[in-house]
Amino acid sequence: MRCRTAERWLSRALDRPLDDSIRKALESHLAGCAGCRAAASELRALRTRLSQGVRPEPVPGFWGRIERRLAEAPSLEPQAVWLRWGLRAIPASLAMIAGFLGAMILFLPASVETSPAQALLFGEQNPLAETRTIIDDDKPGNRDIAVLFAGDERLNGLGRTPRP
Amino acid sequence: MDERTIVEEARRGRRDAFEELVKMYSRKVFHLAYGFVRDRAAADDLSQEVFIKIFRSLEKFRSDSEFGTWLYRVAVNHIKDHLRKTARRKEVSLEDLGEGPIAVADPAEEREAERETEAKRRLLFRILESLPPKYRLILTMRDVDGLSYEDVAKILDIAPGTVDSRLHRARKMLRKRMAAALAQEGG
Repeated sequence: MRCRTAERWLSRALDRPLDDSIRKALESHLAGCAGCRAAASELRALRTRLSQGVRPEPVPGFWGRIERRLAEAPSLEPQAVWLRWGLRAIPASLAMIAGFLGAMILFLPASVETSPAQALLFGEQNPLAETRTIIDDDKPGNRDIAVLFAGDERLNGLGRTPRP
Repeated sequence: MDERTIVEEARRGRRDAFEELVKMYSRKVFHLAYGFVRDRAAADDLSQEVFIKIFRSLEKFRSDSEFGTWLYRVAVNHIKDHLRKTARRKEVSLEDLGEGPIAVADPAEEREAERETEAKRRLLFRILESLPPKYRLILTMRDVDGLSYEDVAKILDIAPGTVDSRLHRARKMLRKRMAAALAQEGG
């Protein structure tokens, strides 16, 4: 056992009993180490002096002084009460907001019905690109048919399916 | 009436029940405070503040825990705050340690050896005052007030291992400073 470890065990021995193995190792170290023996007796002496320190009596009339102070300020200032309740309300409000957001996520339908215009907008589809393919068609007959059917959503869904 | 009932009554706002609690614990709180400030009037002030705080926070006390431990914890925290506030104002150096204003009963009637022991004790307490607050606190609770090792851990809300190491460091520092002060006195 090294002196540093012995010193730690010496301090602990002042507070609670050491395990047998540690106590024996410490005793054997102390038997051969004058420095640690001196440290042990110094520690005990310091402890004794501290525990025998002068402890004066409390000043008489203690409760009377407490009572006076309580009478001077019987309760908390109204402002302090509001502040205290306000501070307590913060976590409750945060919990309610979190609950509300959670409920929205849980109970809102996964897919929302969209209008053709919204579908185009959210799908990032460009209607002009489709129009361009119709205009670019060489045969006027084909152009007329395409224009005729392009607006009919019953036939081709949103009427914006890409042309081959 | 047992302590739990008295505490319950005090929580309901009964002043006489609170007075009973003050009478039960005022001496302990006073001695704890005195261990830090070494001044009767200051210790009295600190004790009053502790009990005012207790009165105002009785509603926070959970009746499943021990009232004494809770009160001690409030007192220790209040004293720690006080020490923190006054730490900068009052730095005790080793040079200041020689002269001590602590009253002795009647030195004329004491034998030489007793006077020497008393002088060493005064010196020791002044050195204790010079330690960092966390060491001073744990030494006061354990070695001066004689609180149990378990109570110290509960009141300070620290693990037993931390109590061990903190006490060890505190005692080591105290011993080192005491040796330096005695050497200075001797030389």
